[in-house]
Amino acid sequence: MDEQKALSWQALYDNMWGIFALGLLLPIAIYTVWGLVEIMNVPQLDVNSAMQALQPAQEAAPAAEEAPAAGSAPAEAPIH
Amino acid sequence: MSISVERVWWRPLDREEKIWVTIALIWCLGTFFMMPVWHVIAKQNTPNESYKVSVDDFEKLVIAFNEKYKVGVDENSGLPIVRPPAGSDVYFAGTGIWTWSSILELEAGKEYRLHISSIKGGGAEAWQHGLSIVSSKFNANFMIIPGYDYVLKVTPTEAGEYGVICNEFCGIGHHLMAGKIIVKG
Repeated sequence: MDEQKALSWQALYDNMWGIFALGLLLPIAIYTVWGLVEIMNVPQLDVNSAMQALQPAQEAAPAAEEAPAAGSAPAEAPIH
Repeated sequence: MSISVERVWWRPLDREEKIWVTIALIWCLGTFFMMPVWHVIAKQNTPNESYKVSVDDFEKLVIAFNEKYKVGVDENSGLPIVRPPAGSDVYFAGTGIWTWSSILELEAGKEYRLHISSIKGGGAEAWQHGLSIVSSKFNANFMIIPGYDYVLKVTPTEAGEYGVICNEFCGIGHHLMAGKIIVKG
């Protein structure tokens, strides 16, 4: 038996449960947590802008609103 | 009863072990550095642009895209043939009824922004698919995940017809997902 005392990291590598814990923690930290952070940071697609770009260029402008009939409730203000 | 094994692994390596560890280390470092090197010198790098988008919203985009740029219908598959202008955003999807959303007609030498995702397309669900663009010269593969829009910058270099197949088992109709991309010179 070698009388030289093992260093602490050597002792860890010689510990079955230490190696087991490292084998779980390192992949979780490097792959799983990293992947979750990446997924959470994926931006949302601007669907409205994308849809506007796909509208036909020759599409007619919306027809002018008809004048409200006499006595009817006033039209609501347009929402901008 | 206990088994006692003498632990001697921290003793100095002998010559043969040093040689093998050195060879393995050189090999590891070589393959490691090939990743950034290949990223620089290769021309088919995987892009990293992606977005979250609902399945229904992406389906609306695909329908609007097909309606705007449709130039015909493929006789065999019944799929619309769609010819988008160069440089435009192209919306392409695998559907829940195991077809592709269209047959694209692209122009060689022009870049397109190809958005890929999965839609229901009249089926029950938007499945996970795999997009494989294949020819006798190359094979490009990308994942298609429902709810995500993956943007590929594509510049076809040669005219011809390129097969499009699904490389992720997506259900009972997986084998039916054989489409094509037409590249005009």
